[in-house]
Amino acid sequence: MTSPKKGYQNRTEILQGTLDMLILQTLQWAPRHGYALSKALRTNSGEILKVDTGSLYPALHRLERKGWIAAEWKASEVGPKLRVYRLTKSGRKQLVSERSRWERITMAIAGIMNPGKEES
Amino acid sequence: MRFPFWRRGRRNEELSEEMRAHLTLAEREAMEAGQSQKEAQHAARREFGNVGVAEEVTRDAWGWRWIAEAFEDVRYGLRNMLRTPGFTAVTILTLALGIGANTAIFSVVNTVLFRALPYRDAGRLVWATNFVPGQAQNLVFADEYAGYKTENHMFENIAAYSAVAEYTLTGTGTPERLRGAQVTESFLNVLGVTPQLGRNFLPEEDRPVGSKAVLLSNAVWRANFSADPNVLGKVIALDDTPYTVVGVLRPDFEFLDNSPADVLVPFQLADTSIEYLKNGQVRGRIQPLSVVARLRPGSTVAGVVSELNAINKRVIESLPGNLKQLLGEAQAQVFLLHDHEVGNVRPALLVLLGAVGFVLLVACANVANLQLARAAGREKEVAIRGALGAGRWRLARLLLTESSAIALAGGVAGLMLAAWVIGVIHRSAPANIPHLQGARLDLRVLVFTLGVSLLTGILFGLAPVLAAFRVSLNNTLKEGGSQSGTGAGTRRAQRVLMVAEIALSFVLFIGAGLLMKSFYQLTAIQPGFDPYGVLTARVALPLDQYQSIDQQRSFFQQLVERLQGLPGVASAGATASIPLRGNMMMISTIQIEGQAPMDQATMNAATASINAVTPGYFAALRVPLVEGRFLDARDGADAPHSVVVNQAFVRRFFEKEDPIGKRFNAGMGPVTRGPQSWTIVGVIGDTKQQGLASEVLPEATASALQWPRLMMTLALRTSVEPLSLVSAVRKQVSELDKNLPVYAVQTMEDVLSAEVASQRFNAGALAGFAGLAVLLAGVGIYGVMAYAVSQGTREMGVRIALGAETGNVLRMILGQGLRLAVTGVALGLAASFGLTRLMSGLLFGVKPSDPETFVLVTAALLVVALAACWIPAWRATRVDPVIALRYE
Repeated sequence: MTSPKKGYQNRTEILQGTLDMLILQTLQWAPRHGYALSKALRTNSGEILKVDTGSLYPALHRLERKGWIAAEWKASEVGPKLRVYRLTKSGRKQLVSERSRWERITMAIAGIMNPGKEES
Repeated sequence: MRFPFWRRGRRNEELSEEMRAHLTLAEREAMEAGQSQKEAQHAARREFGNVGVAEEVTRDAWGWRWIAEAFEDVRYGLRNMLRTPGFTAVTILTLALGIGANTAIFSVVNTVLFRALPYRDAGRLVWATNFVPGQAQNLVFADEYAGYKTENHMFENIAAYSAVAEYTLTGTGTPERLRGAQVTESFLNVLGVTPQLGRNFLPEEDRPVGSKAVLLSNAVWRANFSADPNVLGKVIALDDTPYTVVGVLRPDFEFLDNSPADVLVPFQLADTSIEYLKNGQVRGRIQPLSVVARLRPGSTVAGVVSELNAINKRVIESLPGNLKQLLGEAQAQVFLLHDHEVGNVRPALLVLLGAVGFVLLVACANVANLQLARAAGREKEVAIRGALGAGRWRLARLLLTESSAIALAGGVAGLMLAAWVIGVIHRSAPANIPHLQGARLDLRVLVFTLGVSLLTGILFGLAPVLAAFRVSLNNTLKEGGSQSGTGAGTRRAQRVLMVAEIALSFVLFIGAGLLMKSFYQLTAIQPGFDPYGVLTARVALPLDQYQSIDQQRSFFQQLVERLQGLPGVASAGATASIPLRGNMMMISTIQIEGQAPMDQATMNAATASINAVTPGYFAALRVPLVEGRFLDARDGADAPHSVVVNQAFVRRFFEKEDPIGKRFNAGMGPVTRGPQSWTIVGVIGDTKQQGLASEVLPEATASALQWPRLMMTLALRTSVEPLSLVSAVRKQVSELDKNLPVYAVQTMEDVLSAEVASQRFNAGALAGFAGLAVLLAGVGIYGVMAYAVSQGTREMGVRIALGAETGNVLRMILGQGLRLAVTGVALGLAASFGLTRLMSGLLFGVKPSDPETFVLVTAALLVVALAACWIPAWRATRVDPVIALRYE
């Protein structure tokens, strides 16, 4: 159960937070529908990250609820109507802060994992 | 875009569509990669995972889940309730009793104690009086009031009133006796009240010899003046004196002291009560008055007390010597008006409120026990739910929703019960609880009931929740069969609840016992006369038409003669003051001839009440003669002045001497028109004048023929039903004077019954609550023991198979129950010693720690507990060992 009053609770869970950041990052350049997004995540990560749809759609709807992305139904030339997500202004801001947080964490982790490099 | 809860249907559709689109795209891509349609479909599905779960967790992102779940829980709860109708009915009934009793009492407390007084900014109103130790009574007199009025710094405004006046209204049909109050012109302003019609009194109408003005209550205006707006300026006759109607009060106007006032007249108070007579003597005409005032912002009650005491001191210093002695050391007592109005009923109501709270706790404990017993049977269900992934809080919510639903149902049933109980209270409550008739189920009471219901639901729902939290999934699921049994924790919880029930019931039982004993103590008091078969009624002569003593004397003489002649009347008399209806006697200082003059310092002690009766009075009330003779025809108007005195008088003034034939002077005091020297001709028994619980004061009774009075109470001993004579009495009075009303008609039996009404109400109410609690506790003990026995069937079987005697089994189970009962009683004892002290003000002739009550209640409760254990224990002995052992 997510309550709007409690703020962005997933911050502490790195994986969850990372997924949100990845979605925002992927939507940065162009609006995409869910399937395209999952494909893009997979391709861009060199097939390493395979996002479970059971995580993707909840994340999308959660981000939509936060107002970081917006959705719109669009008719596609190939068949079904598609729900297309795009980044909003506040989403862009969120991406920036997520990104700096992520960089801090990765640097910190890198520092722990490679102590020698720090000293040199 | 956000979807509100009510549009979630559409949202769900869109979500499905989105998922379908995803699948379609994945399928298409797989087909493009060369797979067959079937393969592609499978691959897409596989990759996607469980569509239902994906949809559900996505929906969760929108936060509707809890609402959907709440609906589910309620539905589930209702289904559960309907599945076990017997259990549900018992639970709801138990709660309804607890909640209903609480709602009813709260509605009374709400109306009586929490009600705002109908005056402007009533929180700043105070009521003040002086306690005069020498007189042992509260008394403010004109000099003191004049001092307060001019010298205080604490009051914004101050008023005096006296509510003892009665007036006869004539000229508007049948003459009517009205209850009046004399008030200063500031009175309505202090209260912040304005008349509905007309105006308040003017300052010039409130001077000692001002013009006669009157304000009518709305009720009198409607009843006697048919709500005529032209009544303003009209002159009406009160006691044959013309009064000009200057205004009509609003329908919601309430006079003070919880007493109704039909008319208000200007007090016309002088600044002093002291009269300086021509012969140089000083005479005081003390008219007791009451003071009500509005505090200045920032003034405190304590500040007012010290200021009034300072003023009292100065005023009393300036009095002539004997008055100084009589009224000295006045101690100011100041109360917030609200406290003054409800103060005397507050302790009783708070005790009742506490008592029903206990009843509710017992009901909760009982229901919690029932729930625990059932929860034991549901452990499996809970465990399965847990295994399927229901979180602990989810389970807790489920159980709490269920118990709240039951509690609310109990609340609704309780409300219906309360409505009925309030009806009963209206019919049976004593008149001395003000505004009780206004008790009803208003919004505040409904909110209270709702709150109590929900709280109850949580309270009794917690036990199974805690039990569920402790359920270990593995163990429960592994345990086979239906005999999963109760965990040690649940059993311990049940025992704790049972002990609590017994302790709570015990406290209630003690409270009820003490009050009942008080009630019987009070009713056992002999009033000093025979109250059965006596009719009383009042007649008051207007001074203007009965100015001479001869007129007054002959009126009552004739009236009593006529009444004596009525068929059905055994004896008829009249008295200035009748027992139990408030002491209306004059108080006078007494100087016994031949005894040393009373010391000035002890003069206060040398007072007696002076009554006046017609000779038939003694026979009418059957007052016993102790010595000498009653007053009779020998004590006519011209005969030597004779009195009979009561035993209290003899005890006070004649320690060793024979009082018969002794003479005394009724000295200073308001006995102004009576002869000064009296001869004692007889001693009569003490009668309770002020009330059954009051002390009997020394009294001297003169003949009304020698000391006639304007207002007398008729007393008729009848050989027929007393009230059947009322119209005959009225007829006799109106034949003598058609303008005289006969009022305050009551049988002495009713007076006596009203006298003990509040004790009877308290005792009855608390006994009812205690009975309810003991009943609930009894049922609870029975339930727990029966359950424990059924759980222990196998153990019993083994014991019996191994040769245990019936007696042993019985003793064992009874012993278990008894241990719990004794623990509960011990806790109850400890609590009672503390709590009964709080109700000492309600008790009469009983100490809060009355050993008799404590012993009796302890015994009674142990017997109830034993009886409740007996049946299950007896059943345990019937266990067939073969069946018991095969049971598993």
